[in-house]
Amino acid sequence: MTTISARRLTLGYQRRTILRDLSLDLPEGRISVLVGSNGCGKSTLLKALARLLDPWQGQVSLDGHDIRRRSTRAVARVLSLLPQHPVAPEGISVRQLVCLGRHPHQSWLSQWSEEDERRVDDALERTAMRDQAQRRVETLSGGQRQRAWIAMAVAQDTPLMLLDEPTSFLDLTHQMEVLELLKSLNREAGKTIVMVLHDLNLACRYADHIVAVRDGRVHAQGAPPAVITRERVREIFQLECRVIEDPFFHTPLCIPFGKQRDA
Amino acid sequence: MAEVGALRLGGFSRAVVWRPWRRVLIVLGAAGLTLLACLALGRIPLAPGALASALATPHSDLGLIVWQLRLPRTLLGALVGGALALSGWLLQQVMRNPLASPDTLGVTSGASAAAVGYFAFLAADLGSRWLPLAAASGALFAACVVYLMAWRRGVTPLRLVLTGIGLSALLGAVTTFVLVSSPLSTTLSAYVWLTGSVYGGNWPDVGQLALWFALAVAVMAPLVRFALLAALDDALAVGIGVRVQVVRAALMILAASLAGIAVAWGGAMAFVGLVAPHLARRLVRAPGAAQVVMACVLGACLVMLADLAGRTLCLPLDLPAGIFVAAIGAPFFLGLLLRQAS
Amino acid sequence: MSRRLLPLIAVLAGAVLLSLMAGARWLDPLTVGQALWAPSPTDVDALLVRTTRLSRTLVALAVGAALGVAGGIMQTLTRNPLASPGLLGINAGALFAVVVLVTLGGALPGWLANVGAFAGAALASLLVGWIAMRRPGESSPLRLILAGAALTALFQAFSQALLVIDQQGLDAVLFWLAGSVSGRPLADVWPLMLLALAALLACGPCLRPWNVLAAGEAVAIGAGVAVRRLQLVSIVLVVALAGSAVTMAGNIAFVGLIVPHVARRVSTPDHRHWLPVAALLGAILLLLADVAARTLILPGEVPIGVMTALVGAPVFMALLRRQGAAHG
Repeated sequence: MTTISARRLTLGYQRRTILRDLSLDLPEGRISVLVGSNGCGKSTLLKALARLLDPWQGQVSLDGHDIRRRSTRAVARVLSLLPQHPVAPEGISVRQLVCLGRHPHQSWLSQWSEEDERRVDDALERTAMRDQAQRRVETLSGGQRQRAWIAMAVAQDTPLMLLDEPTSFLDLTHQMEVLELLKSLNREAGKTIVMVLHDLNLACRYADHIVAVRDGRVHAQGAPPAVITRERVREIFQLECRVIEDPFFHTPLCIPFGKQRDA
Repeated sequence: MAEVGALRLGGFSRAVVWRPWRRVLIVLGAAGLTLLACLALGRIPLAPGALASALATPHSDLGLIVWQLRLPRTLLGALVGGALALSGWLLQQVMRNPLASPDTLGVTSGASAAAVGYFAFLAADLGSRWLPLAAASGALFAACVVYLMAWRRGVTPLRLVLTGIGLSALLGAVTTFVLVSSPLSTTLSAYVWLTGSVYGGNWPDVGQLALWFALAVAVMAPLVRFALLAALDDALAVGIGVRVQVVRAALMILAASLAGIAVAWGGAMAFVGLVAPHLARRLVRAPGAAQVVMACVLGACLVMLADLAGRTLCLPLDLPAGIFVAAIGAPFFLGLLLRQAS
Repeated sequence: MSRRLLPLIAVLAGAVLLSLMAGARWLDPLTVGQALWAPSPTDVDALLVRTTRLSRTLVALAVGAALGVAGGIMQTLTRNPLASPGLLGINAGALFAVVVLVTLGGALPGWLANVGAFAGAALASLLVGWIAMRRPGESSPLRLILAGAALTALFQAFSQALLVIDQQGLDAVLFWLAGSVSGRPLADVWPLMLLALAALLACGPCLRPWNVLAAGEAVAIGAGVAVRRLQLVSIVLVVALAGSAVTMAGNIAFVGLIVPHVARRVSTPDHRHWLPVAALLGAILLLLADVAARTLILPGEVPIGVMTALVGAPVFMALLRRQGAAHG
């Protein structure tokens, strides 16, 4: 199995510092969700974990070793990534897209082994994209497209998956669909999943571990009921709310209040 | 899944999508016919029977025309077209934009500036022997300058294209200056070169170009799968373990070399690198090896046909192929622009 | 506003004076003044000033102002910082039209070449305007610029082809290809100057609506601007400005691209402030480029289009690098 962690990470864009001396260990085999208000650095953190951004100081470790010391290909065999707004090459079919996920396992000699074929079929099966396999990606609906991207990451066959807002721009049905899919990947295939989500209640429902980011630091982390409390939400989001227990799923349910109303 | 086959032999394995190759074969057949037509037509048109006998007797009068004049010239055109098409395909992948081509990226204008400079300052002493070298180094030099100027902790397609356009304009101005300030005879021969032609192609030319072309293709073959990945987002590509900057630089150099060797022998032929890959993309939707081969064959056909038109339509004039490449390519390209716009 | 413009106007006046003085034969300001206001019919210097130097000074003035403003309007209209007559193929279109006319008709009377060049510029502007306007929201800066580059390549390919076929034509059009403000007698170009002046003045009422349009089409509609009509008027203005500029002086690169950027930087983002600055800066830039063009390699002359490209391309690349900091 593979563990990912950040040690005293400091980084930013140009002269602006986004993450300050941030350390974080993410539990193996679980679903971790990064939450926080806009611009708090949660997406930057995810990108740093995925080696898309180089830290100014500190390091990201994969199994205890600096991620930048390993070849990007070797990393891609244990860590897959779904960025926020992925763009597919023109004219590519779903199946071809999913095949691209096999790239880190291929060489010039072996570009389509039986293992490759099995993994691609399996990824299409798991994401219920089998019937859409021959369609071109640009003709898919938003929900299907997101499943196609997830299928590509699944075909990559990595113990660790990072996803940056996999539910953005999807309606509620498709948000649920994507999250259920990710949950099944976690429960059935044992994948460690780390993602950024905006919806706090969905985050509570699906996360085993919530990491609340504020001002480029980890403000709180732990199981959802421990992190999502009235006081914490006020600190993280500067928002008045009440947190009750979801009557069906028994996870925290956050009910936001307007700023002017006290309750 | 039936249409995706697998080719496996021990550790060697490839996925083969058979369907597009049928079309490639058809177009290849059409290219063969084009080649024959180029051999048969000209100032002295030959009927199929006469062509066959001329081919069989290389030392007869007609045989000489076919073997020593028409065939090398046609093959030169085919190689030039093929190389330009491959270059365009690569650039369109790397830039992730169907409008990218050696013409819009400064590569051709680098070659042009070098060639025009050669015409104006060196041709009198050295003859035209070193012209291909000058043009090819101009192309590569321009590509390197564009790449370095666009570098800022890595290059992005957007900056590459914009820098390329800027450099193009600059080099275009230099070219114009040299043209304006040199005598009219130089200007005229430079202009023919700028338009692009395969005038007087002979076997040594074909041999040299074929060698370089084969070399470039040998380098390109293992890189095709990276060219497919270059069309992905940077983040996605990194996610599946691609060293984006290395791949981008390698493909740029390859594309510039291909365009460089093509313009070295064919002059600054516009639009082949833009139109052929685009046409290929419409005939073979899925990006992959079949699309690459298709682009190459189409590019070859385009230049062969253009050269055929150039030397037969306006007899007794022998016009540069570039004119007809533009005439065939431009309407197609305008259609592309307008369709993209709507 | 006038306080902002006054220093520029002073610089412009200086540039005009310099342009009248400079050349293979330098004249002192006194001679220039005398030549303008009290010319003696026998004085060679007076003749020089009143004919060649005055006309090329006025042409450079008009062309520079027109290009600066045309580029600015195009950048506002397409919301693309790189839009400009040179990059989007308008210059190449005008040249192509001239080449066609020359190949068809041999030596042309000046007015016909002018009409042809103008028509070509208008055609190219409409084409590129159409491409840009069809999907304004979605069209990336890259798409429009590549479309313009390809359009340029298209016109160039055709021009070259025609010139190869008709080799006599080449000599006649090299002037346009290289860009030049010399050899344009006022008698030939005064209608174009009037047109450019009229178009510059006609920008006045559009300045405020352009401010709103710059915030986006949807915003402008919401704010009650008749967007379609404004766009149409803007295109007409671009055609008039860029068309008259390229007709007067041929292919002059980068002025339309760079001047608006510099103007926005030294002024404010308000069109009422920076567009007049762009006009003045364009005129100053072209006057100085022309002075340099005709004094650098005496007794020869660098075509002014080459001068502006040599100065402009590096500035363009510097702008790109600076933008790169913002957009990665």
